Amino acid sequence: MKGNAKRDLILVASVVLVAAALFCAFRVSRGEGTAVEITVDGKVYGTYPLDDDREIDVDGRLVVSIKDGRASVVSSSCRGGDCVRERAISRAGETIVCLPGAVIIRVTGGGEVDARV
Amino acid sequence: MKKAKKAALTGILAALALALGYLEFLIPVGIPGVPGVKPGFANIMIMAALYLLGAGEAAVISAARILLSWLLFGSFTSLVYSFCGGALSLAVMLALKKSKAFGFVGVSVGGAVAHNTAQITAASLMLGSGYAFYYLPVLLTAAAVTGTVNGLLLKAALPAAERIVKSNAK
Amino acid sequence: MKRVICRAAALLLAAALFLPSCGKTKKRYSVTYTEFFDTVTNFTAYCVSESQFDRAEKAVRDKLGELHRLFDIYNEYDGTVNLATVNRLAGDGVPVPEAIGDLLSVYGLFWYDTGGLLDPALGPVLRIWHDCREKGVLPDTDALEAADEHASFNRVFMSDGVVRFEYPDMSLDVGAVAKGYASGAAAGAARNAGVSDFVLDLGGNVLVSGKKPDGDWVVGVTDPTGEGFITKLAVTDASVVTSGDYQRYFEVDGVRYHHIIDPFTLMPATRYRAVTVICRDPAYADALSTSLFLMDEAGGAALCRKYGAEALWIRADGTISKTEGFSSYER
Repeated sequence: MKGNAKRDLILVASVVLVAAALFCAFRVSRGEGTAVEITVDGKVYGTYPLDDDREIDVDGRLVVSIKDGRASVVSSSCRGGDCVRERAISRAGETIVCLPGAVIIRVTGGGEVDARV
Repeated sequence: MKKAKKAALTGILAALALALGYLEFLIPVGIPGVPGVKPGFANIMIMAALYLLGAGEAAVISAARILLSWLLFGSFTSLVYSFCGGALSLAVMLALKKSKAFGFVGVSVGGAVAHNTAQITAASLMLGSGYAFYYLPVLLTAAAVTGTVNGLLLKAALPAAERIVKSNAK
Repeated sequence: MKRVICRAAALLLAAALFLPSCGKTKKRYSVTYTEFFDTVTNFTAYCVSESQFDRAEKAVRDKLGELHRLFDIYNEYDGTVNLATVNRLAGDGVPVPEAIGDLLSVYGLFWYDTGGLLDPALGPVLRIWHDCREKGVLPDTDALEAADEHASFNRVFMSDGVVRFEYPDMSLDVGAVAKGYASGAAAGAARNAGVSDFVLDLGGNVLVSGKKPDGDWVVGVTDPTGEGFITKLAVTDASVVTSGDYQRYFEVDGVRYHHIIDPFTLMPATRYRAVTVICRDPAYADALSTSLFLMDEAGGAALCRKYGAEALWIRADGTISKTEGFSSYER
């Protein structure tokens, strides 16, 4: 194998390793979430408890469904519709991002505080 | 290579890049649960331009493709993301090619990684939050795979393309 | 070529080894006890398995139970010398278990440092307030003064593990430090059982060890005037303790009488609604919070500097003051 091909292989392997490391860092045991925070254009649009089933029309841009403690996007006026194909989220820190709609749906919680004095 | 021929070739590659991008849009190749990951075949044409013609032509093709696909079927935000991705991707591919240390696969993967990282960064800036980086591991893995595939495709196709270009150059 | 394949294989192997280790994430477990120190205790930990948590939880429960019995001033238990035994017999001198000696040494430090404000020998006075709180009546001033006659720690002698009172009617009450001391000992037991990321909360006496997988443990400081929190603290490997007038109290004619008694006035101290202390040592944290509740702010701040602690005072008028470093814990 020529030098270039070898370095190609090393490059690909490093990218995969970095991705794996980031994946680990991001997925560190997330606790069950308690609420869904929806952000539109960088501002908080609303926060909704995960244990109340409901559908939320987010500014006409997309519709978020909360059902059985999980949140998902059921319809979107954005072109790609990637956010609709995202799997439902339920654990603290999990996120669905709709780039064209500038909407972020994030599960918050795992308890506001761990103890009080 | 004659100027006119260079221009014609640039046009052909740009058209092919646009067509390949449109094809991906028509037939979404996705993994369930990780949407938004595309093979990025259009990058094969941009790399072909980089190797056959030069950095300037590659930049023209990349910009033309992004502008045209925006005019045909895009939104303004997607235009911003695409430009960030296209520009950084091209810069990284050029640097990797110039270093002469990497083959087609390396250049292609580097471009794909740069493209995806730039898009995420642009998205985070526009959305005013870092949560979009949640996707980075997925996009990096995707870049490794699609970059490798595109690099190998280019490696297979480029000698033939080169022969055609050279045979007609007489 | 061979070498390249070898290296690629090594990389893949490394990745393969790396991935499962991150897949084995810790889970959150929690248990609540009501049988210790007359308060609600919560132990929350991140463990790799339920059996690991069970081991740690048992170690914590055993240690808290042991110290609860040792520091109990109302009941004696077969076969052990505890503080109730000491209070009954120390007029003649009683050999005490090590934990009681340790606890009284902490009191010795703070009794000296506070000029006698934190005094475990205030037992007879606190007993009267305790009974009055249960009945909802005000104590008789003469009775309080009579109880205070011998109530001073300088009349308690400790040597070679033997505690002796100068007068047999004296008694000890270690409520100001017992929970802090016990939380420290129980935390040690949890760590010995292999768990290091946990919160041990003995009714507002919170010991924080390690971190959560997604960041620091967060302790909310109760707002005595309302429902929410005055502030939230991100701490690791430290204790956070609040002494407040809302924790144990009774009301007579609309006036609130709480449980932190000034040994010089024999009445509940009135400077503050609450004082919160952050300190690495759990027993010191507990002792400091009560001490500071009884002292002026300047004296309290000096004490904090001595023990490397930070404090937040909520004054009687609701205004707030903090030591310089307190804000670095706020989030």
